[in-house]
Amino acid sequence: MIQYLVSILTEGAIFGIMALGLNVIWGWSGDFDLAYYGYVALGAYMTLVLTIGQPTPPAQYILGLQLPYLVALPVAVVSSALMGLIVGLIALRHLRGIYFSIVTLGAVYVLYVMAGQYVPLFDGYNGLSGLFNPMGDTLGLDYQSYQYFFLGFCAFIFILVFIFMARVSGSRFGLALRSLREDERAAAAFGRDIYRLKLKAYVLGAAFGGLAGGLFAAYLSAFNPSAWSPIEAIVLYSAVLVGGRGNIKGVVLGVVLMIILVQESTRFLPDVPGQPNIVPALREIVIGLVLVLFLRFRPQGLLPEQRYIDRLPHDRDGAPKVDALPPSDSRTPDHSTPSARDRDQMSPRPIPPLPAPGAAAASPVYRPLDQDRPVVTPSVSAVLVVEGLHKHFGGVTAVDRCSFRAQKGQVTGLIGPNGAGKSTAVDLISGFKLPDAGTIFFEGVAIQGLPPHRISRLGLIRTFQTPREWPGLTVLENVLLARWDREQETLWRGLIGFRQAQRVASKSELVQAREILTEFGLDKLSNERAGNLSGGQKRLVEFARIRMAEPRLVILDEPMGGVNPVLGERIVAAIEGFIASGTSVIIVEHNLPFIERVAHHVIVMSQGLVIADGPFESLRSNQSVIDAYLGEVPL
Amino acid sequence: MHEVLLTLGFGLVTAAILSLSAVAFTLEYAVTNVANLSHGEILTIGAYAAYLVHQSTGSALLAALGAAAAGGIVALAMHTAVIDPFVRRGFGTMPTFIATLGMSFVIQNVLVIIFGAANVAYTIPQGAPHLVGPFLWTSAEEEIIISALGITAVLYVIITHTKFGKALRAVFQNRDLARVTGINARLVGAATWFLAGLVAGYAGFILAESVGSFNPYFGFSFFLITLTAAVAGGLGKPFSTMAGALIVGIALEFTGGYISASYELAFAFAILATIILVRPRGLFANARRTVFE
Amino acid sequence: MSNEVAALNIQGLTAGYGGPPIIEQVSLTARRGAITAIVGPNGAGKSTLLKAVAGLIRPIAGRVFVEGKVVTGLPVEQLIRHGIAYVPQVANVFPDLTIRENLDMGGYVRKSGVRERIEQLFLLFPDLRVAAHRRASTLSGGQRTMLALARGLMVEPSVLILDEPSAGLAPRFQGLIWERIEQIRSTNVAVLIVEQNTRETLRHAQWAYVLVLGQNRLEGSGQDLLENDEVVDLYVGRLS
Repeated sequence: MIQYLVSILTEGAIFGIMALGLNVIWGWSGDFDLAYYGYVALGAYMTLVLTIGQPTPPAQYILGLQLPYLVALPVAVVSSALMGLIVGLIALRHLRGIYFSIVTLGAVYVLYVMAGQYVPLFDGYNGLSGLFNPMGDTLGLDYQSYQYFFLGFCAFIFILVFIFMARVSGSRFGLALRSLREDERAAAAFGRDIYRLKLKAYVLGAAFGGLAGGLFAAYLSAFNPSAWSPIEAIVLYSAVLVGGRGNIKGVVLGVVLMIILVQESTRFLPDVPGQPNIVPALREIVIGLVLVLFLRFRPQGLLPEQRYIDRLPHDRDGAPKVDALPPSDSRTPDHSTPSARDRDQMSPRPIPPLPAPGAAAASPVYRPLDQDRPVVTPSVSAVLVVEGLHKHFGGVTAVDRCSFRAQKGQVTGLIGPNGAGKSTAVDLISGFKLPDAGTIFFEGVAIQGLPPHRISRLGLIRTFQTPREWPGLTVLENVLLARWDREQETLWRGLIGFRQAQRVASKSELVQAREILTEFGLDKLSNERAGNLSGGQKRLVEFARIRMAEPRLVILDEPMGGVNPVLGERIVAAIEGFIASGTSVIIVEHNLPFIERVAHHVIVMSQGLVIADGPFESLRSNQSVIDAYLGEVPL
Repeated sequence: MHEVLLTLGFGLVTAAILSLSAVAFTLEYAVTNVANLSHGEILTIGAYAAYLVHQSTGSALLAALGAAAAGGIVALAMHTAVIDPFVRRGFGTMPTFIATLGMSFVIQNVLVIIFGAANVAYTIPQGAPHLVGPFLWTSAEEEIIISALGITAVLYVIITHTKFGKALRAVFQNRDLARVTGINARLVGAATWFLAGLVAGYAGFILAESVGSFNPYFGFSFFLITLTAAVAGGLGKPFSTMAGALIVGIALEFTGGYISASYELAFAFAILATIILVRPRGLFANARRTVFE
Repeated sequence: MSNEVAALNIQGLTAGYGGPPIIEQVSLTARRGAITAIVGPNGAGKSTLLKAVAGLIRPIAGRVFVEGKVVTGLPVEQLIRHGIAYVPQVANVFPDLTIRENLDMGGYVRKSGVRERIEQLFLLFPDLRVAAHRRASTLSGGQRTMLALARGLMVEPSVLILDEPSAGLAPRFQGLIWERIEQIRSTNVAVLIVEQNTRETLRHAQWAYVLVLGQNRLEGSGQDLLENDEVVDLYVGRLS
C-alpha cells in the first residue's frame, strides 16, 4: 500500500511539473500545443544518453556519457528548450488556432518517428534503459529508502516549480502574457511584442517539459517510444483542461484527479484473462470522455483563473486610501514618452517615402509646419503629420494619397460617410496595416512601416470600433496593463520582484489605477472580469486604459458607437480629461453633433480622399461635405 | 526511366487511397468548418467492418460495402453526438477540434476492447502483378485505382449536379446566405458527414487490403498523410484536395523509394509544415496568412 | 392607402447582438408595389433591423407579420417559404458558383419553374444572361449586386429586403440599380431598402422611415422627407 502511494505521489509530482509547463503555453499563452509531450520525451532521452554510459552493441545511441544525474538534468532541460525554440520560431510567427496545432502535431509525430526509426539516435524502438537509482549509489540507499528519497526529490522540485509558476502567475509578465491570449490586437496596441512574448512562453514551457522528462526517465529508469504513448499525453491535456486552464492550483488539481482517475477508475474491474488490453483501454475511454464532456459543459475547468485582487488598504469609509503623493517624483518613470532607447533602436526611416504610383515629382519631405500650412495658432505644432498616405487592396483604393495633420493638444475629428477609408487610415497610422506609399510622422519621427507595438511604445495608442477589452482579465488588470513597462514586464522581474503588489504594479500605479477607475465609475467593478461587463461599461474600461497609459496621442475609432446619452457625457468628459493631461486626440466618428462638440478641427474623408479640412463650422456650409453625406443626386 | 514509372505506378495507388480519405476529410471540414482529428478512426472502423464481413461471407465486394456502411454510420454518429452540438452552440473551432481528439481516443480504445490491440492480418488474394500501360499493378491494385476513380466520378456528379450537392457547396461557400435561400444547413451537414463516412470507410478497407494488416491505431497514422493532402489541396475544396492527394501520394512514394519508407511520415510532415507556412490556403490558392493583415 | 393587408408589418421590434438592444420598439409597414426606405445616420440600427426581419438575429421583443401571418422568431430557412427574400450587404452571392448556379440556388425552395423564372430574370437583368456561365467571384461589383438582387427574386417574394445594394459601387451604378429596383417594385413586390445615398433613396421611395439611435424618429413619403429640414439636421448637425 505504501509502495503504491509512494509511486502515485512521485508520478503526481512529475506530471504536475509537466502540466504546469503545458499551462504556460496552453493556459496562459493560449496556444493548443500538441508538440508538448515531445519536449518531455526529449528531456527523458537526453537525460538517459548523458547518464547511462556507452552503448553495448548492438544497441546504438548518441552521446553515451556517464555524467552525474544532477548534471545531466539541466542539460536535458536546455535541449528541450532549444527544441522548443526551433519549433516556436517557425510555428508562432504567423500561425494560430488549428493551423498551429496541426503543425505542432506534425512536429511531434516526426520526432516520434525519428526516435523510433532512426536507430543511431536513441536505439529506435528498443529505447534506452539503465538509469537505476541515480543519486542512490552516492547516498548508499537501499531500494526501499530510495523510493522515499526519490519521491522527496521530485516533490522538492515540484514545489520549486510551483513557486516559480506562482511567481509568474502573479507577475506583470504573466499578466501581459495572458492579455495576448485574450486579444492580440489590443495587446499590440498597448505595446506588447506578441511574437517575442509568445516565444518566451513557449520555450519556458518546453524547458519545464524537459525537466519533467528527465525526472520521468529516472522514475521509469528507461524510456522508449512505447513509454511515449498517447495515453500519457491525453492525460496531460485532460488534466490541464479539467483542473482549469490558467490556474496553477487548478492544473495541479487536474493532475491529481486524472492520475487518480486513471489508476483507480478500473481498479476494481477484474482483468479479463487473455485480454490484457481491456482495462487500460477502458481507462483511456474514460479519459477521452471526460475530455469531451468538459469541453462541452465546463470548458473553463474546475477552478477559474486567478485574478489579481486589489489588496491595498482602503480608508474607513470605503474610499481607496490615497496617500498624498508629491507631484511627479514618486510616480514611476513616465513610460509614455519615447525613451532614448526606443529612438536609438529604431533604424532611421527613409525620407522620402516610397514613390506614389505615377508620381513624377519627388515625394514630399517633412517640412516644419509654419513653412507652408496655415496654422491655428503660430505656437502649436503638429503631433501627427500624414503625407500622401496610400493603400490599395481588394481592387479598391481605400486611402488615396491622403495628407492631413493633427495638432498637438487638440481634438481632431476624422469624419466621412461609410467606406470613406477612415478606419483603414487609422489602421495604417497605428501599424496594423502596411501602407503602399506615404509617410506618417508622429512627433517628428517617421513611423510608417513599424509594427503596432513599436508605435504604441512611442506613445500612440488607438482603440477599435468594437471594444477590445481583455475579457478574461479583471477590470483592474485591464487598466494596470495599459502601461507597457519594459523593465517590470520581464520574466526575471516577475520571479525576483518583492511584494505581490510590486510585481504587477507599483503602489503608486495601483493608486493611480484606482483613481481612474473611480473617475469612470468602475471602481465597484474592478475585480469583475471585463468580459462580463455591458457594452457601455467595456467602452469605459477602454477609456480608463487610455487614461492610465497617458499616450501622447490617442486615436479613438468610433467611440460613440451604440452609446447612450449618459455614457456619451462620460466620454466627452474623458476626452476633455485627455487633453487636459497632455494627450492629443483624433476621433473617427459618425456622430456629428458629438464631433461638433469636442473637436477643434475636422478632417473629412470620402471615397479614400480628404475632401475638407477645417473647423467644424466651416464644414456645415461646405457643399461637397453635405453631398458626401447625403449623397449626390446623379445627373 | 523504368524505375521512375514503377514508382509512379505505386504512387498512383497510394494517391488513390489517399485521395478518397482526404476528400472525405475535406467534405467534413467544408460543411461544418471542423478539422476532424478522429477522421482516421472512420477508416479504421471501415477496415474492421470489412474484415468481419469478409470473414463471414467470403465476398470482397460485400466487405467493401460493409466498410462503407460502417463508415457512414460512424461519421453520422460523430456529427450528431459531438460535432453538431458544438457547432450549433457557436463553440469556436478550437474546442471542437480538441473534442475530436478526445473522440479519436475513445473510438480507438473501444476498438481495442472489442477486437484487441493486436495486428489483424487481412489478406485478400492480390492477383499477380501485370502491366497496365507503363505501370506494374496487381489486380487488387487495379481495382483500387478504378474504384477510386469511380467513386471520385460519383462524388463529382453528386456535388455538381444534384440538388444536395449544390446545397453542400452553398453551405460551404456561405453558410448564412445558404440558410437565407432556405437550405437547412444542419441537415446538409449530417448528410455530408454520412457521405464522407461512406467514402472514408471504403478507404479504410482498401488501405487495409493494400497494407495487408491493420490494428486499432492504423487509421490515425494514415491520418497525418491525409491531413497533408487535404491542406495541400486547400481545406474544404474537394477537387483540389484530390489534386493535392495525387501530388502528395506520388511524392511520398518517390521519397519512400529513394530515401527510406520508414521516413514517410517525417516527409509528410515536412510537406505539411511547408505548405501551411507558405501557402496555408493550399497549393492552388494565392493568399498569405499573417497574424494581422 | 388601400385596406389590403400589408406585405410586411413590423410592430415594436427590439433586437440586438446579445448585449443591449441596438433597435428598440421599431415599427413599420411595407406595402406591395411600393419602395419603403429606412434612412438615418450611421449607428442607427438600420442593418440590424433588416437582419432581425430576415431571421438572422432573434428578436428580443416585437412581432413581424408577412401578409398577415406571424413569422416572428422563425428560423432563417423557413422565412423564405413565407415570401421574405433577403439580400445582405456583403457576402451576398456564392462566389464559386456561376451566375446560373447562383440563381438556381435562389430557387432552392421552388417546387417547379426554376428555369422559367431564370429566363424571366434574365429579361430583367440582361447583363446577367451574357455572363451566365461565369463564376460570381469574377464579376464586377455592379454585376454581383445585380446577381444578388436576381437571386432574391427567384422565389417571387412578397417582400424583398435590400441591405445597401449600392454599397461600395461607383456612383454611376447607382442609377442603374435604382432602375432595376423600380422595375422590381412595379411587379408588385414590397421593397424594403436601406441605402447610404439618402437623397437618392428618398427620391425613389414611396414611403420612408427615419431611424435614429435604434428608434423610429420620423416617417413620411419620400418626397416630403426630402424637403424636410429636420432630416438634413439629423445628419449634419444641430439635433442629436
